[in-house]
Amino acid sequence: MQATDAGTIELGRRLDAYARARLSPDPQATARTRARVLREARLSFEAARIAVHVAPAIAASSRTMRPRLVMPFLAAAVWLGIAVGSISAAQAGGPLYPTRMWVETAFLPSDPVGRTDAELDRMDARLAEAVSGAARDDRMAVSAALDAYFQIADDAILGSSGDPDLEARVAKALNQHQDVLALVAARLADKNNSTASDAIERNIERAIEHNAAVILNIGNHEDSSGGAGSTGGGSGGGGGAADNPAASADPTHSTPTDKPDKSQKPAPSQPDRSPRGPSD
Amino acid sequence: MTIDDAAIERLVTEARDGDSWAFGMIFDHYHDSIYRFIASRVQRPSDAEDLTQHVFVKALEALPRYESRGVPFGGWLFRLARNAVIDHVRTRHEHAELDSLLEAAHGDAGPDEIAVVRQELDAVGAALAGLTDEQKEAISLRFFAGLSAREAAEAMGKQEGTVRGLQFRAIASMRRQLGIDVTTSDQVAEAPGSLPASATQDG
Repeated sequence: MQATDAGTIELGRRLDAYARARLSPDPQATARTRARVLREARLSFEAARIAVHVAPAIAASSRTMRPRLVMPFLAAAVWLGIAVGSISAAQAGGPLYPTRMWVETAFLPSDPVGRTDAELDRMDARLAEAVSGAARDDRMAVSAALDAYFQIADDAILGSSGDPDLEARVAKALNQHQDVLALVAARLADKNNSTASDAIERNIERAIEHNAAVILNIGNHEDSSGGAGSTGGGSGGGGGAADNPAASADPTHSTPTDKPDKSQKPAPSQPDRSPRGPSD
Repeated sequence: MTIDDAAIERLVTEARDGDSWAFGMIFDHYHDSIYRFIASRVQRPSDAEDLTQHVFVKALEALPRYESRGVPFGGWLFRLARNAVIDHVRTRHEHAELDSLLEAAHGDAGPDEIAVVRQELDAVGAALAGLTDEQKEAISLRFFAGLSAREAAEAMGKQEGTVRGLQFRAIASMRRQLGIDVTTSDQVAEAPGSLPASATQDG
């Protein structure tokens, strides 16, 4: 049996010519890509090495009664490692960004007020990164920053639930952020000259919707508690969502009973960065 | 550069252990074929460059989760590339329609184009544009990226026989479109998996 015939060979020749002429990478572009990818690789491997050293120390420190003494040293060690030549990699969209988020989370204060303050600061920082990314048309950065923003917002909501003052502060911050996001979205809509802008705009609209839903939920929660100044200590406090598994699975429908175990955060959270490879 | 599968697996293991030199070797081995595959699926070379970089960074992140289990690394890597292209097309609402393909083709003529007849290249581009998405993908993976049928099947998440069938129908369609002698198509039908030149590396 003849494997190929003249016609197929001719087609192969034309496809080959097409590939050489129109699908070949530019050598300069290849060099550029190689340099960037290998830089990311070096930084990523370095971060992994740092994490291997830091994770057991964090676990050990959480078992002792003096975690707050150890944490600053660990933070300094991690940031020293990450800071050496890796500033951009730890920026939104960079490979070290999830590690940076994890480190920030690991060193959050444990008391509710201090923790909420810190979470609000972190939300401001993520918002600034998203706005900065939008200005650069960097949709990866915007997406990463907003994903982190959602996560922190959800944590802040959970952490503040049951305390009307803290809830009000979180709602106020979300409201302000919503205004900023709306402004950025409007500017992008005016720009309307790149598909990257479109993608960023959609991401920002998603954030606005997220905030609107959360603010509404906080308002509903306050209404349902009847302004009684509940501290969350009562066994019947919170109501509704705790009886509804579907609602409690949604972070925007959280109640005090949904409060996660903060100690169960040993690894960087990277849910949106996982490719859909065969191992998934 | 030719590296056999065993050598690739060794490099992958070393890269997973944090060896950036090994990852560089993997990059060098796969870069051009990944780029060609992506460039054949998106319209702009700048997008192809960005997506190629994105694929390798994704591979870097996913490497700790990669397990060989008889799956060729190339197939796994091209699956990442395929997903990146799908996401890109979905996000940007990009469809490689005939007009835009031709427009892109006329946009930047490389030195190689001077040597060959541009009309012929345009005709190939038009014939490719006339294929179904899956046929186009099969041709891109098998021919432009030079994958084996098994690797292409892994990348597409399909059976090897299905990929061979897609390739066969794509070749027949392109031959018709390009007016290449079709009188011997029965011979092709006997060997649907065969392709000339760089795409004949089936096991």
